[in-house]
Amino acid sequence: MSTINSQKFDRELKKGGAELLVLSLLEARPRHGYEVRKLIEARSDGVLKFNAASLYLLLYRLEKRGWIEGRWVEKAGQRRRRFYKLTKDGKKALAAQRGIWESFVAAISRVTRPENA
Amino acid sequence: MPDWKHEIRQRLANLQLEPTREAAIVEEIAQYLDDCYAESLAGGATPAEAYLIALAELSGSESLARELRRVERQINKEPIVLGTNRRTNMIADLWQDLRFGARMLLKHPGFSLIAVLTLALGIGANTAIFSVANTVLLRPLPFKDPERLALLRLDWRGVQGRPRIAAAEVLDFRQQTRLFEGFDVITASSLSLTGDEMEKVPSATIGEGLLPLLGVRPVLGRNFSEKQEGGQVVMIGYELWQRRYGGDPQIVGRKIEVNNFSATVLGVMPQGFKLHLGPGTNLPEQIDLYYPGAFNDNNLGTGRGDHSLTTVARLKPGVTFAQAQSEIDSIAANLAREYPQVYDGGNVRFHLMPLHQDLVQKAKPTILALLGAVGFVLLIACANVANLILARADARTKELAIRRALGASRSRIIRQFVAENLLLSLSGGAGGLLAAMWCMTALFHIWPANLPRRESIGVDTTVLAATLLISLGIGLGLGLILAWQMTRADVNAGLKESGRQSSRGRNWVSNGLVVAQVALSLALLLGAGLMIRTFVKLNRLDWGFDPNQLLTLQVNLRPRDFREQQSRWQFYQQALAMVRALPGVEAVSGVSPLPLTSSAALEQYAVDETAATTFPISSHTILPDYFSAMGIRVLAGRAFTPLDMEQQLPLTVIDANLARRLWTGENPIGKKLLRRPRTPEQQWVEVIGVVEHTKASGFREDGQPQIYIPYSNTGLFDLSVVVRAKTEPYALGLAVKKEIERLGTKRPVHSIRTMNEYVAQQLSETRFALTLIGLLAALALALCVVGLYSVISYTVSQRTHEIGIRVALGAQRGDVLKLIIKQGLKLTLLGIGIGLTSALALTRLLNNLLFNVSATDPLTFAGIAVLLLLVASPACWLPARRATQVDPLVALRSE
Repeated sequence: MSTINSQKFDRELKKGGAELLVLSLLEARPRHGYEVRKLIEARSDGVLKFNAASLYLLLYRLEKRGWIEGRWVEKAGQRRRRFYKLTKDGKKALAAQRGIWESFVAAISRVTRPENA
Repeated sequence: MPDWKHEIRQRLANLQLEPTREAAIVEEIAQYLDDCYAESLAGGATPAEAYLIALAELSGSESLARELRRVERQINKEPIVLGTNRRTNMIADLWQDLRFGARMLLKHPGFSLIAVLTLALGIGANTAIFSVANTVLLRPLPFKDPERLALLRLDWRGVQGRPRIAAAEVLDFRQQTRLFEGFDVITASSLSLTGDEMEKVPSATIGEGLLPLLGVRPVLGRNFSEKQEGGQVVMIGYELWQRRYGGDPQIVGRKIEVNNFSATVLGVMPQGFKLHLGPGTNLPEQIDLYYPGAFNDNNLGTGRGDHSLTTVARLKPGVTFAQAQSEIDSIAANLAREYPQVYDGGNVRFHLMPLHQDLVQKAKPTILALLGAVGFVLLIACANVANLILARADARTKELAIRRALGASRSRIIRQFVAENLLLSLSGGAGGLLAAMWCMTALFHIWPANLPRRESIGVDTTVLAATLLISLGIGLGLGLILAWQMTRADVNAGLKESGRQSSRGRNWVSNGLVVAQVALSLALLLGAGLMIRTFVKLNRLDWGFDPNQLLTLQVNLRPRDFREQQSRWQFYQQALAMVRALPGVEAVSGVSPLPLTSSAALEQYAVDETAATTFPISSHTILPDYFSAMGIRVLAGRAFTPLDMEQQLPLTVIDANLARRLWTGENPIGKKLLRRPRTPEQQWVEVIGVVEHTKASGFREDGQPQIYIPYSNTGLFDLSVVVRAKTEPYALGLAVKKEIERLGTKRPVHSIRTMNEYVAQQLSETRFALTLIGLLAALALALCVVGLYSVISYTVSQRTHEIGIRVALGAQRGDVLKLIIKQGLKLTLLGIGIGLTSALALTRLLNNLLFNVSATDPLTFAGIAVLLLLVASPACWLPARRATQVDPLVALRSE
């Protein structure tokens, strides 16, 4: 596969999985944007990286869709930050996307596993 | 920390976001960059390196801006103004809508005026008739607990629904019922105020408990009590008290002269008091003098044979009419067993009619017919206004398209249209209300006298509420039709140069409205047509006597001056002789009862000795020369002579119906009838003549046989004198009155009227219904023709382009004419078809008003259909003619 094509493939994969990544990270507890970005990078061992533009575009899109809800939180001695949490619709969407992703991965695995001699 | 906000704002500058939203995004992303910068510094980078690393996070911000634009752009909800709540916002919106609507209506004053006037006509007519229906049919009677009051009617010996029963029967009901609070009676009396100024006044004898039974207290003095007062007492009406006694506050206890005896005034009735008793009771509408009745032979009587007492009953609380009727029926059965000869072995029924229902039964059909008619007119008016609004809507397509493109929601637009049309309909309603109030006086002048409670008819809160509801309903309906039509339109098409949208949907609605208008107009016209035919038949009716040039007067003799029957006979002989001698008199006689003035006086007759079956015959007591004075033809035998009367011979003259019924194919002259069988007064009478049947009981009488008894055999005190004049009868009235009074009646001669006045009274209900229905039908037709014209005109304007093409391709003017007229006629014929079909069912509702005309008379139906077609044709032809004048070049250039 050429470099251009694999970059494109990368991009498409990331796009499809990006929503799933963000939703699943917000499942445990509300987080702010930088925290989400750091967690994705850390848990993917640096494979998956978002910059501010792409991350916040994603967050605003999910917020408009009603899957996540943003709230300004001010802690003592700190500047206020905007925390995001999953809504009820967001939880449903997360469950659906997880299912799709797991089926997709399983299908790919079945096709790509080595054949028995 | 570096200031990231400037950098971020620069990258988001073209978004033109709302300031607060932009500030929030900028703050959030700035916070992110701060974290990034701090982490880089913590990782060992220099400030410059950390700055660049953080700034790199903004790469791809063009796509951020682009996508944000898409995500952020939405129809913003209307901002909630701080300090207010949702309800206040809605009120502000409504006020804005109304102001906008008013502006739009004022911008087109011609359209608005026509629409408001059309609605005012329709709503006004409904208000006027509904006021009548509300007062007469809906409002309870002005008595205590009126729903428990009833009138007793009697079916007995061939007479159905007689509103009078006998004294003994009243006493029986009083003693034997458990479900009633009481029964009491009223009967007409013949009282005059005598003394210096003689005046015949409408009067009645009432049971002592009648007024307490109704829950009525006098405004001065007291009711007749159970205990006998010393001497004669009377109660007087409020209007008489004011008119004759100047409202004297000392009237109670004052002595007045009634029928030449002295009576003490016991009390004065409340102002406007009426008894509100139903048709056939023969009681005056307004009673000025009340005499106390007692169940003795000199007063109300005690017997079972004389049915002269109108009886009112009050049910106990909680008792239903069904239960009460059941009790009455069982008592009637007991009476039939106890008095088999009187009640013919059980062939008797007493009906308990709710008092209100009994009162309105005659007026109800006319009122309901008129309510239907004005309802039709309102629907036609609304259809016209709807078509006007839809036509104007076309010119507003562009306005609507722009508003929708700018983000106006469909619901907001609908609300605005409804508000605009509500303004229209409420203005129409206000105008209609005013018009109705002005017209009501005129309405009552032409409404026949049988309309009960006419004095109370007016616009009250119920009528106001109904008018408001109708106006709101119309406004809502018109607004929704318009909104539905307009919001279906394609926004893009509306924004184009022409500003006109596809008219297919609108045509369907307009055509439907026109067809409905034609159908409704046809129904009204049919009603009017049937009424016209009825009226014509009534005007040509053969009454059996000649009512022209006939004067009538009522004579009452004072009993103490004419105790002997011979003295009364002499009096009337002299009176006739003196009147006959007056110049201008052709013939004179006397009769009781006078035809067309009261219900028949029925007497029982039999043909054989055993009197196994008796039958009622309408009986008239007459003086000599009656038939010639009245113009009644003698068909066989002869009339009574003065000698027959002198000798008091037991003779009789019968009418052709009776002769046919008893002796078909035989000569009735010389046959005998047993008058009042099984009573002490029973008498055989011999038939000496047969005369033609007269419609003495009114034009709807069903051919009840009639019999004439010579005066000498009855010796009545009171008679109606009939005078055939050579010229104008009314001119003789005063002279005849003076001549008769000079003989010493001691009572005024009264009720001086021509026979034609009584005939006119008979026709008054028909004339009234015809006038109103005719006016409404004419109005409906005018509105319908205007509606048809406007729809066809609109069609022509829509098809101008098409017509241009047709003409350019060779179509002749005649072809264009046919094309347009065909469309108009199609709508008209469809409307006529639907109208005729529905009218077959509807006109039956007019049955009570028609006479000798079928409610589905084919001649009337065909004639009216043709008339409507003829009247509608010019409405189709005029726009069609305009269409033929279309210049094809101009038409092809236009869109």
